[in-house]
Amino acid sequence: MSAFLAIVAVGLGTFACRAVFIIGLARRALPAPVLHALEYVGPATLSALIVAMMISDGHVEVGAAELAGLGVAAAIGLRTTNLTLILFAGMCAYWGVRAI
Amino acid sequence: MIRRGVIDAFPMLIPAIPFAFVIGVAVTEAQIGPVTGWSSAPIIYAGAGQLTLITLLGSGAAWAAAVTAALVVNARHAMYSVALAPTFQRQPAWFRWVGSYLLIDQVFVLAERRKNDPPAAFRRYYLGVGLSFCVLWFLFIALGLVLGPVVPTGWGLEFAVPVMFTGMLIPGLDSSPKWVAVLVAAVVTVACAGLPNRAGLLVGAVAGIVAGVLADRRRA
Repeated sequence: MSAFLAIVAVGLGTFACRAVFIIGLARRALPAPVLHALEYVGPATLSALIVAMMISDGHVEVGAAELAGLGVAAAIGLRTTNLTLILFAGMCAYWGVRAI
Repeated sequence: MIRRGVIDAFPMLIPAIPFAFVIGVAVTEAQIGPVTGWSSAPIIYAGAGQLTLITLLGSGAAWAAAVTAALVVNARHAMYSVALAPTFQRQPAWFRWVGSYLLIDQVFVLAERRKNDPPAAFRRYYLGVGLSFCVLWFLFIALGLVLGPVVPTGWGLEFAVPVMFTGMLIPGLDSSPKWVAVLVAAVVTVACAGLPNRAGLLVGAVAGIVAGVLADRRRA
């Protein structure tokens, strides 16, 4: 039961994080400097998220295979928005280098 | 547009499968029961947060500590919320509630690229992506509870998530301040790798935003 209550607590908190600005700012005009800063929220958060995914137990774990995978994904991403292709090429590079 | 959303969601769903299996194993080990464990999928609906909470509960951590840690892990969603807030201003009220619920990492990454689409098209695309993830995630977690403990985890398929996010991040960097934002966010997140509960992600993201704004001001 206490585990279920913990899940509900985290669920409510997570929904609050997702909704806070979408619902909270629904009818409020945002000042120009804020709108301007919002342009950088996406790229900065995504970059931090990618790096955080490569961290385990407080250490960055990136070897040649990871670099190859991310590098190929970035290069393919510049040429196409086809996600299946990005996934396929990036993972092939990762598995390929890992196998060597 | 619903179809386009479903198609775009598909490759992102593949790495969700091993992730769901890892959660399945964690639920089994934490001994919180399969139904309670599964309920984390619809109630929390964020894989990393679910895994953090369940693992900590299973390892005997204090209730408050486990909940706090999971909430820190999930706090990044407020960043997505603020980034998409102007887009949602043009949407009906019901969709702001549904859209908030569906706002996971993958949905944000896909929706961010279409935030300037016409409102009706954006809404259909978002629902296509969001509902695909939602329904299949609930299904994957159920499968993970059954199959997770018997499937090998050595394929490294979880690496598919950063791979795809990288492939989507780079093409959107159409100005030098955005590059500054991305690089500073990455470096600061690495520097803060030792912070508990992946709090470095939040510090890195905020540092990146500030750096981007400053770089832009300098350029102007």
